[in-house]
Amino acid sequence: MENIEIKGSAKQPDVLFNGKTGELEIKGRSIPENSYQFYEPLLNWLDKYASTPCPNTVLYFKLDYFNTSSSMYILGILKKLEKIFLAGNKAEVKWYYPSDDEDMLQTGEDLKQIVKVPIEMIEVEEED
Amino acid sequence: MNTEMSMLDIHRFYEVMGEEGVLISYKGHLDGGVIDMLTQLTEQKLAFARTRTKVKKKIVNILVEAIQNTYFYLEYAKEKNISVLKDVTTSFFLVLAQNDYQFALFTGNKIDNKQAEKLKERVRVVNELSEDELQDFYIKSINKDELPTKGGAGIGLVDILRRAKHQVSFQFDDSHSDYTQFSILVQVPINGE
Repeated sequence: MENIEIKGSAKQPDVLFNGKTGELEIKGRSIPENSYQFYEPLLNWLDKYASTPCPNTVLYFKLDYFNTSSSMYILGILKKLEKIFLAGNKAEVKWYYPSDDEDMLQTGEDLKQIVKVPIEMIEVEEED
Repeated sequence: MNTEMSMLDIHRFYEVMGEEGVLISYKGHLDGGVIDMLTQLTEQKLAFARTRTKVKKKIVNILVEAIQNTYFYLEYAKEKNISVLKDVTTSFFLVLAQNDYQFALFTGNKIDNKQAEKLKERVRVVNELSEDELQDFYIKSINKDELPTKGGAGIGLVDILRRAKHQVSFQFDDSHSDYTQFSILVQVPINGE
């Protein structure tokens, strides 16, 4: 299947979904006014990918900012990963948060409560 | 117009803004481009003021959520044609100010009286929630099977209260017959603690 490559902007994150390696990455900021328009193609791609996933799927979240409407879609993406995981495939999420960003840590912890796919919290140093 | 007098007024105006610690002040039309501009300007101003990263992020997140709340309301009002006010779509205002102890974000807009009643009730409900209850409310709200095809998640206020740890004041000025002036004031300690 085709990969997804989206270059980020002031409002939208960089996205790199590689269907051949199973490495998926969302990076940057996600504060669009219309999250549906941005995330719907990603959710559709994951639906297709879930039918024949790679032996190991890893989703990297490296977000600086996101708004509440994005958070619903981020959860939507995690639920797709959960489906892959519950079908007996190897799948995991790596949630990066800056050491000084308690809100980003909290959101990762919140999402962990909702989905069953393993989420690893990874602290990264951020200089003031 | 007395040009000399106007120039003096402008200088005085900026002196007052400086004395009050105003970093950003905007009033008028709101669209995606204005949201981008205000977000970027806020980041630049906060970086210039050597604001701690965690405080900068908190303020930017709250600011985006507050502005987009207004944006979605104005879009909704336009679509439903519920606003009879000519200037409701340009009533948006935003002020970000700073003193030695905290940042203050003051923003709002005019809203239709009927909508104001609904918003007042929503504010009353979420404002009474404890931090843990807000957290539960937030998780339940984002965990929906049906995702919205437009607009926000409807939990902007909850997110603001959650991030600002209740340092938020809401005001509904209904002294005008044909609209309500809605304002929100969020205070963020300068050290983020």
